[in-house]
Amino acid sequence: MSLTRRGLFGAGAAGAAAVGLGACGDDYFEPSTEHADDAPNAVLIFSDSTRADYIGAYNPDSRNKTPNLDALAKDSLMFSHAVPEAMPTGPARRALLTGIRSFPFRNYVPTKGLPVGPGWIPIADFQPIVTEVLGEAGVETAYCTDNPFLIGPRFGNFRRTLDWARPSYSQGAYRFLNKPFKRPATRSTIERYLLPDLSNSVEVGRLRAMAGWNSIYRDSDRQYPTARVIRSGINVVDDLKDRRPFFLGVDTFDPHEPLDAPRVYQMAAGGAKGIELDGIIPIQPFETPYSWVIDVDVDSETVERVRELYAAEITFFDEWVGRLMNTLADQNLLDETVVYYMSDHGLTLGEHGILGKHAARAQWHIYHVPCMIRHPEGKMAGQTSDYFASTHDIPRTMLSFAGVRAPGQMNGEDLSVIFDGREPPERRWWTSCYDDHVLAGDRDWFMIADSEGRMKRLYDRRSDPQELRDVAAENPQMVDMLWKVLEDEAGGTLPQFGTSAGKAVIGG
Amino acid sequence: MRFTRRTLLGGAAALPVFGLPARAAAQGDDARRAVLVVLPLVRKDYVADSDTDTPNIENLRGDSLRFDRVIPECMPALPLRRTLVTGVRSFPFRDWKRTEGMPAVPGYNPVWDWQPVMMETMGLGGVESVYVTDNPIIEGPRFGRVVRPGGRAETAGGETIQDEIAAIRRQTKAAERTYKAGIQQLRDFSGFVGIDPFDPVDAAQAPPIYIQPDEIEREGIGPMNDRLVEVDWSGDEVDDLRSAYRDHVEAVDEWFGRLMEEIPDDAFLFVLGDNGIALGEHDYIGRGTPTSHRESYEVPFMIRDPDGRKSGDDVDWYASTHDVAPTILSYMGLTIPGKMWGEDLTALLDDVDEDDLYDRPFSITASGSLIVVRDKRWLMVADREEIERRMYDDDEEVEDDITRFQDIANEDTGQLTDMSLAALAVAGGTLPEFGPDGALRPPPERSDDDTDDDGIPNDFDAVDNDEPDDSDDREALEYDGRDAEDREAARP
Repeated sequence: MSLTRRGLFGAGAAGAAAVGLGACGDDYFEPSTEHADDAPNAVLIFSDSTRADYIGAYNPDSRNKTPNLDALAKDSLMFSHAVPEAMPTGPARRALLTGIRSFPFRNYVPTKGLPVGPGWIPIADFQPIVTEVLGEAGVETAYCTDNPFLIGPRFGNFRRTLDWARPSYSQGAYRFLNKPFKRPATRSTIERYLLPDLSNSVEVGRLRAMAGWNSIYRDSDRQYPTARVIRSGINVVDDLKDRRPFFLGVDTFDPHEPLDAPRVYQMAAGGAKGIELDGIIPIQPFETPYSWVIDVDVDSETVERVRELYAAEITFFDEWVGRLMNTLADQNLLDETVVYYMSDHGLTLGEHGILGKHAARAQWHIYHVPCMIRHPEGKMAGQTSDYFASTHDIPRTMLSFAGVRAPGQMNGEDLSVIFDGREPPERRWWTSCYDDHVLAGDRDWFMIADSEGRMKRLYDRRSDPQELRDVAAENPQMVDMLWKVLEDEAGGTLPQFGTSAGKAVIGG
Repeated sequence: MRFTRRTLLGGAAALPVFGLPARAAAQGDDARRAVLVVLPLVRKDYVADSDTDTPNIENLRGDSLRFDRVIPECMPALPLRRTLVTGVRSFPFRDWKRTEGMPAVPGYNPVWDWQPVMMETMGLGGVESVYVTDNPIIEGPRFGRVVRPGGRAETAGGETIQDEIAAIRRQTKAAERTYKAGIQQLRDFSGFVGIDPFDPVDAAQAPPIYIQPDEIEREGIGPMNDRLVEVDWSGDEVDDLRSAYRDHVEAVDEWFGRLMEEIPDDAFLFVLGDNGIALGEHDYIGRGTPTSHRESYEVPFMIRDPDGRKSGDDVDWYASTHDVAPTILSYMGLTIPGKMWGEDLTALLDDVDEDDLYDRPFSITASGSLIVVRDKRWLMVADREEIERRMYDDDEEVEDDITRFQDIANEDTGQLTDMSLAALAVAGGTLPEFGPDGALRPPPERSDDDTDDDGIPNDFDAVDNDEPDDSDDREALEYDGRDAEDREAARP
């Protein structure tokens, strides 16, 4: 039968009616809301730290090749102005999994096992988890990731919702967030990655853990974290294909720094230049979370090399996305599966003199992320929407496609209506936050401010797409309006963060 | 054919071109109709009471899916109406800004333009809507067609129990004229009709809370936004008040009966009370009073499905005012805006068990500056900072038990903590404090912590790149999961 969302909902009536029948099997595990009879599968591809402008579909002049993501974009509805509703990794994941905005971090309390900073908290007990809701509706759920937080101690409640949890502990540099690696490499081993100006920084420990791990496990491209995560995704498809409908999440921590794609990809992205000519490959060119370029004392050629190394990571990721998509095609799953692709934030690669992620400079290179949805019937293929799609919209959209009611707490919008030719409720502005900074904007304007509102910077994206010239002083009305948008979105007031060691919320 | 939300979506007409405004999912022969009726100031316990004659509401109860433990998620009448039409929780009034022409009490403000509106969503979906009310905040293009029954804000007093009796009578009049106007709108309607009696005085003045002299100090719950009025009332006065209230409930029922005659059987019908009233049972008289014992605050709340699904069933789940808009939209086959907080209660009609609805362990509500949390047994009343907290054992099984009115906050602190945390969780992490003009944000702890000297004050750096924060020692900054010795050994 042909699968349409309309047909799907039509069949959902039968699905709802069948709930009673379902009870004959096992009284204890009766689904609360059955999924629609021909609910499509959902495959969520998510990559950390991915800038939209490094993907060919978003930027034809992109320095690297991403043929597989470009092909996926051609088959998909592409969101040109997607912005994660909160950043970085941890809060973005929480919104992605719960469908509830993490913005404005009002519930932040310092939490052991997670980084210290506004937004870094686990999923609260009272929040729904999309895999839990799907699972209760009878959908088989699987998630493959090497994200050090999702596989760490604070996201156990998420992993427990899964039928197929496939954690990968291959991010050597971030092992300390769960089980510290016992055999870090020697200092001399990491000298070839370590910038001289970072020789006394925390990055030393990270690189030693990474190199130590790699020396044991990494004997081919297939052992790189991205490959391991997507391979486990490909493997689990074999099991899932007989248990439809299913949800499969494939969530790679790369292209997160250290930017250590396999050597062949690094070479393809460019030749040695800058500091690499002195024998140092700048895979970790800043002290987490960021350094000023001037502070790490590297020349512009080295920055260029850093960009190439980053591009190499994305190309490597793209290659494996292709393999996953081919697997879905080979198993004849593509015409009954909705494929989502998104990222949680970008990475500043020398723009504004910064390497890394600076909360006060979380500009287009950080907030502009790729986002696309591939409809199983090819609806809206190759079309672009400028809706401000965001991480918290994904769960509600998935549930809608599956014909499952979303919990009221999920405050994202149902993007599936776009495929029916309708529009989700108007979102005139996008709002986001990063640590104790808040961001707001639309297609023309962008404002970033500390959450106190003492330092507000405004950029006119029409004349200044690189966001270089602060025009807040010339446009006080726009600044005030965007500030009000932020306060409204936060429910009336923005929270006040303390400044003591934990930076916990003190009110507001 | 049996109609469900999903068959309806399945029946959606041909797809328009992308980019055009959303169109009717529910147009054509399959058009569905819904009616919302508010019973003003009607307590649930007076409806099923043998002393009160309410045949019409009781009739409907027999045909409906009934929710037995409904307390509005905020009180009193005006903020409650915002929740009703937006589906967004007004609790804990973080969005309160003092508004011209309204009392300076948290919760009294218009529907903000960033909040979704049920009637606007209907309009975008091609569904016609009519809303019959004298509520001044239901005004403007976002609210569809609004019909005014013509009530005016009379001068309201608030010094004696007689004033409260007058207020109750104004509610009776509001019900009469609004139901009368509603009957006109119900003749040959399509889409949605909301019939919502509202005394305009309730937008201009927060209802007073009457309390016996000396009780304020004993109760110790705070000034209640200047709403407290000390009256040394007599037993006769309370009897008069209760008798007047009984008359009100009976009058509402009588007019509701006339309204019911016009409501077609094929319409989805949602009937609920707005808020209850304390009639001196627990030292208070008035609406939105500091203690919300169940008999004063539980309101009727029922859904009549045209196909009779679940008619006569009872539900204990803590449904509330914010569930109304999502439920009606869902029934109409419209996509619920994500910003609406409430749950889609049509799930229950589709055979979902109430235990499988999304967990809502407590009924949480706000009245002015107070937070009220309760479940089927415990009742907690607290101020904004949750410093002054009172707890009662308001057990449903126990009738007229003196323990229901004794503050036992110091005796069962575990329960108190659970309830306090639940309120914080629903509020997003903090409960707002209020100044005279709106919700306050506390001042920063210190003016500048530009520790890395990059010229950006107070920019939080997870790891400081130049100078450590005063409170961070180098050890803490360098922590990477290894012992200090290992780290030391790793140094060049």
